[in-house]
Amino acid sequence: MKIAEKAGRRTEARMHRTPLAWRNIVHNKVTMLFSVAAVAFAIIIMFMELGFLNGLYDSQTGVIAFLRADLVMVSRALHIITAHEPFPRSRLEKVAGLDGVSGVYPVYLEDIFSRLRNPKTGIKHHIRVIAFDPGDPIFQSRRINLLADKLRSPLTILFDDRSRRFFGPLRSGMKIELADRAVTVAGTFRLGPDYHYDGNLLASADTLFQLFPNQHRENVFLGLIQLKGDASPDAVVRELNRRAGPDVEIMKKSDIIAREKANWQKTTPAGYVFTMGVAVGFVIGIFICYQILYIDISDHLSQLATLKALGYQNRDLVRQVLTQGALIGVLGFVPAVAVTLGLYSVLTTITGIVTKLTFGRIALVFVLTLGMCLTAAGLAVRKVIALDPAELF
Amino acid sequence: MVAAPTMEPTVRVRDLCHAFGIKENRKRVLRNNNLDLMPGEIVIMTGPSGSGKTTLLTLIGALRSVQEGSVFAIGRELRELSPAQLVEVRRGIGFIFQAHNLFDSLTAHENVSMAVELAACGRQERDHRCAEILSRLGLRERMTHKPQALSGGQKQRVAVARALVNRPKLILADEPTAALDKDAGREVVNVLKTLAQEDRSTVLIVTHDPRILDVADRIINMVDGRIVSDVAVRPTMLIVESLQKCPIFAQQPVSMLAELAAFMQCETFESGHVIIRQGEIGDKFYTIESGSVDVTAEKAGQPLKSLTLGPGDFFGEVALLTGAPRNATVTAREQVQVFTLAKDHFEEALRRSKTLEERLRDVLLRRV
Repeated sequence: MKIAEKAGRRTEARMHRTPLAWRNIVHNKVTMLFSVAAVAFAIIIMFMELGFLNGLYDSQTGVIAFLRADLVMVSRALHIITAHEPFPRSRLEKVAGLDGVSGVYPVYLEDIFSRLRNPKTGIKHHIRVIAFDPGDPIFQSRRINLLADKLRSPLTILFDDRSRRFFGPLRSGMKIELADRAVTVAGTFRLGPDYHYDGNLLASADTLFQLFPNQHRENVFLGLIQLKGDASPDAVVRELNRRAGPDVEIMKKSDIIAREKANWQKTTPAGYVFTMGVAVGFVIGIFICYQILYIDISDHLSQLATLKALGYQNRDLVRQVLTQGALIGVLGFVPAVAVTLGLYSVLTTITGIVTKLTFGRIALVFVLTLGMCLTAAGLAVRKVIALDPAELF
Repeated sequence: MVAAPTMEPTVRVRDLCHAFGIKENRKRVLRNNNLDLMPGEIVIMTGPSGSGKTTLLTLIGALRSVQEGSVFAIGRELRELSPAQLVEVRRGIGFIFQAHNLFDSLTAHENVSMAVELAACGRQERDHRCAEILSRLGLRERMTHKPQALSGGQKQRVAVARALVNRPKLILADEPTAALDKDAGREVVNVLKTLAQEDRSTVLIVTHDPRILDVADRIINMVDGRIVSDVAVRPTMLIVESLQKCPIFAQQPVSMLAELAAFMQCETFESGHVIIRQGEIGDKFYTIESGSVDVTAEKAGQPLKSLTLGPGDFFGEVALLTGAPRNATVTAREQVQVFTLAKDHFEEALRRSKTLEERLRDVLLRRV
């Protein structure tokens, strides 16, 4: 009873402690401004590198996310979506009638002969052409599914508004030159470029075959498979893979997105470069935060030693320094998020690649920030532990 | 203030030795020290720098581990304690340093509160204790001020409040007035004295500041790792006052006089007593507090000279300066009170003070 009472009072005493860590930070406003700015700088580096990395992943898998499908069929020879590797259409038709499958839709792709002339400058740039049969409900967006109806007219295309600017501003109704043939812009949609493609066009399969003699209705790039409501995707994937044939592979949409990210990470230098960038930001952050805390501790050596003389244990002072580190991290984090939002939007405007700041990514950088500041505090606190109050005299 | 003999001392030091460094670099800084500090006592410790007084203070304050001998403080034998237990002991001791060591970022109230937070008590009680001690120190109107907005004396009083807020039974202060001007120093010491007496705490102050010697009940002098004198203050102050009347000592700093006084003995001689006999080996230096003496010298049975010395005069220095036997006989004319200083301490005083030696030779020249 008495022990419980004492413990209760101790907890109460702890709750109302003088907020020394906070006071030390905010005491000198100029120093605080510099500290917060310096830590924010390191956090922004991490956000930017992570932004590049996520921009890469998001944009490379954007086309799959853009399409509506439960399962996706691709050639087994395809390791990455940008590697154009078609498979025979018969494979897709073979699985159309199987249990649980409600519809199969072929998607075609041309990215070699598809050069679009900028109507203003006259310069031709490569663009990706995604083709399908109008009427197939293959887009996530209802608006595009409806808009796709316009592609029934021969030699019409839909232009991706988010394509890099050098394609020129293309508006609905304009006549442009694609693969040396005149086509009409029937409308626009928004997908966005990635690290491989600068822009996108949508066209009907018939238009595609008309424009590009190398293309053939039998050579499918992606097979989109939609399932009935009650079907179990995993079971259907297993069944389809068994039945479709050895040269194709069927995966859930989420799996192919994950595989795509993993491939980018492993098979291209970009994944390493940006991951390394995050690590560099983290280490710079440790140095900055360590420096801030080290200076603050050095300025307060006699005060901290006095606390030790008063009877403060090392663990009390360690907690003090760790709190101070964490607070600096949090203080730096808030402006860092604001600046990052601004920089991301600048990046999106310039490159067309959308860099999203999702909650999960903010949480990741927050955890990294805390890790960075606490590591620095852990390094700086050694000076406090080594303090000998006897030397005050 | 004399403590009742049955009372347990707040601090009891026995056969305390201490050394720093290892092996060939090992340097003994404390040798066989014994000391008792009683509740309610204010004790000042002086001594040249490097004499070991700081080491003694830190050992009593549980800031160092005892190596040899024993230190008993506020009810615990410190020798057997682990470093963590020593930290616990420190919570029962009030420390005051030369610098105030306050956090610039905290108000006076919060700085004091940092010391109370170690005790398990609620916020209300804590605030009450802080407010009370700060009020007692005359800082009621300054509680929410940060150190920047306080004067030097006020800052040191906040530091005193921080040391006293947990009502420690033992207060250790290191040069608490060194950074303060005369009035501020006085103020801090007075306040320390009043509070210590109200709470019957023991106060040990290391200081070189002669202006505050009078607050002490006892003065301890350390030289070379040993407590060489431990005297009640009242007699010492009397000697200092007396020495200040002596022409040769009048110009010396009070601190030096206090140090000399600590080594001086008071002796009384009846009328007709021969204090010094010519031809003897000289071992002491004398100053006359009251009464008068006859000085006579003879050569081959013939009297050479004769003179009378009174209060404020001194004698016995020639034999000490030259090393020759006493050159005269000194006899008490009436009841005489003198302060005597042994040869070693006299020589030490001369070595330390060029002006003292010059004055001495000056006076001698005129007397001859």
